[in-house]
Amino acid sequence: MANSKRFFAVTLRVIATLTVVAIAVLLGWFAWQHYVYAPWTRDARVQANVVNIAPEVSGTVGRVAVNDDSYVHKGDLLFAIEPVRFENAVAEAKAALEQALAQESFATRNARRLERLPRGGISTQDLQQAESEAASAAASVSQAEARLAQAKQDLDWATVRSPVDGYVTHLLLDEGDYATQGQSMMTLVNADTFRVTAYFEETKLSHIDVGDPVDIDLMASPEPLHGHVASIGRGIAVANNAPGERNLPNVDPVFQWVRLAQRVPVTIAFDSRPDMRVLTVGLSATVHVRPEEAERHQPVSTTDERDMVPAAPKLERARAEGLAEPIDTPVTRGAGG
Amino acid sequence: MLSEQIAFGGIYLPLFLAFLAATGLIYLLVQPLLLRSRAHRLFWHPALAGAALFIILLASLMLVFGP
Repeated sequence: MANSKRFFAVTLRVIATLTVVAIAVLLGWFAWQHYVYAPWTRDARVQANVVNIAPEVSGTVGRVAVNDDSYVHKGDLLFAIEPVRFENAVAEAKAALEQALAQESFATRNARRLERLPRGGISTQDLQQAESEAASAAASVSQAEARLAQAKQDLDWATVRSPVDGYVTHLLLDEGDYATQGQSMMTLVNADTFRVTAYFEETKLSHIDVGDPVDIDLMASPEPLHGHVASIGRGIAVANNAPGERNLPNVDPVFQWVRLAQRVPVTIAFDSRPDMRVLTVGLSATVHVRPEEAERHQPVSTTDERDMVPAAPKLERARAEGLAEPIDTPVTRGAGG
Repeated sequence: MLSEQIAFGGIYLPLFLAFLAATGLIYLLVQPLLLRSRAHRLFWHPALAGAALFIILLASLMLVFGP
């Protein structure tokens, strides 16, 4: 009797222990799944298109019209190169055009005069030469007109204007600097293209879809921002593709006890234009994708359609086509005039 | 929902570390109470049950307050 009581007590204690362990395993598994596979990451950065402004013509900078970190609208003056050389070039081209016009006038009238002479009054060779000189003079006029147009264009290019609405950043240009054609002199951050690029582990990608709503927490701001997945990166560099000896792939021998999940960039567009005070390219962010809220999420587009991924139909089409929404990538372009 | 990181003199640590620390603290507070109430007698393997309790506390914190 005592033995059976003891057996019963031990059995109960074993069951209690196993129950607690089972609960721990269950909760631990859920927590692990949530922590490891839930689509969130602390590895996210704010990005925007960065436009490098390079003049189309070289010259000494006579005026810088903007301050560092100032906001400029599309078409606003950024800086101006001393125009004297270009004004002189325009004057010279105008004079050359007038000269060409005078020569053309004379050559044309001369050819017509010779054509009106009676047969035998002039040799065929002289007539052909006069006609050729008239044609050549007309070509010279066209050439002079083109040079004048180019001189005017160069003069126009001496005034460099902003190609986008954005912020001047890291301004080092000063009056008196020599601006070289095609060399970046100023950097603008396109204010309409702010977005977040989140680097998700590949294990989490299966839970992310284009259009899914996203909560964005910037380290710089306590206010949460909202957006949606605009596109999912379709390529990252593979180290083993680097060419080695005789252009063969340079495959590293690895000992794969420990493997790290690759990270894939996912572009997140803001639902509404965010408060610019808190946005700077390169800021750190934490993002949570909320696929479970995708059905009731309706992005509110308040900015240029080109820059923000807007409403559901477009997203549906992108999904149907298996394509990501186009978001401009950082570009380098010259600007002038 | 808490912030996903804790600032420590300019170094931002993942929230998981905070959960670990909090769990350890709670466990240290709970264990004497369990000993005093002789709750360990209810289990066939008290140490295993203690480890399970630690995991339950940690997982619960992560699921309730985690990202």
